[in-house]
Amino acid sequence: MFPEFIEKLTQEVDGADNAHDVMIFTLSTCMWCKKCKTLLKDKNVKYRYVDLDKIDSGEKINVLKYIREKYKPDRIAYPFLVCDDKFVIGYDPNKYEELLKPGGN
Amino acid sequence: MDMETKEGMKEYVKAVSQKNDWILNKDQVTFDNLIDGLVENKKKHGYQSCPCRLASGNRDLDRDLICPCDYAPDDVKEFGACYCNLYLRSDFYETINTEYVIVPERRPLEKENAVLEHFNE
Repeated sequence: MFPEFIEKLTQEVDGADNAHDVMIFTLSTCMWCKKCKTLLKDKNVKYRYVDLDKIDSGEKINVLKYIREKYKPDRIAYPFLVCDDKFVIGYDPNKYEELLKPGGN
Repeated sequence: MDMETKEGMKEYVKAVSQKNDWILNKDQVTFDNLIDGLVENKKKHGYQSCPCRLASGNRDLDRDLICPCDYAPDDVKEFGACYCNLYLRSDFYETINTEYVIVPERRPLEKENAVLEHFNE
């Protein structure tokens, strides 16, 4: 679960596989983010996303600060995928596979 | 060329690729997605910032991200593709020829931090 200020920004994509809580922070213009969304959809994974370029500056800073403080990534690149308490920076199908497999993560 | 249109942006990236002796991504879906992103950013910000990175909307802070970004020459040379995979090395389809290349972010972290500070102002 995410803080309320993030939850209210999310779009949900339904899927039969809801074994994990999957959230992606994305850019609507980003080719890698589109690939990530397509991969999750093809795998029938239920997920939520926030397109950071579509929210206002105040919301952006709050989301970015949250990501930095919560996950302490080396940097933030897109898509930034969170699966339960693990995260993946940038498009990486192999890492997604590991996290999303039954019993993974 | 009107870079706020798809056709204009296609002309622009074609000219960029020719000038640098690069080639453009031949995957039509990827290419069209990238062109759409560039057009959207051009309309939104007034400049064609990299569609795969978060722009601040401040031209000075985003100058290094204006396509072709400052990092494209080194990325194309080292990895065979720019960060977005729009521009590819001229021998890409003869030597690398994968569906895509994941290019690590070369942008200095301090520039990313400056964008964060900008949103905070």
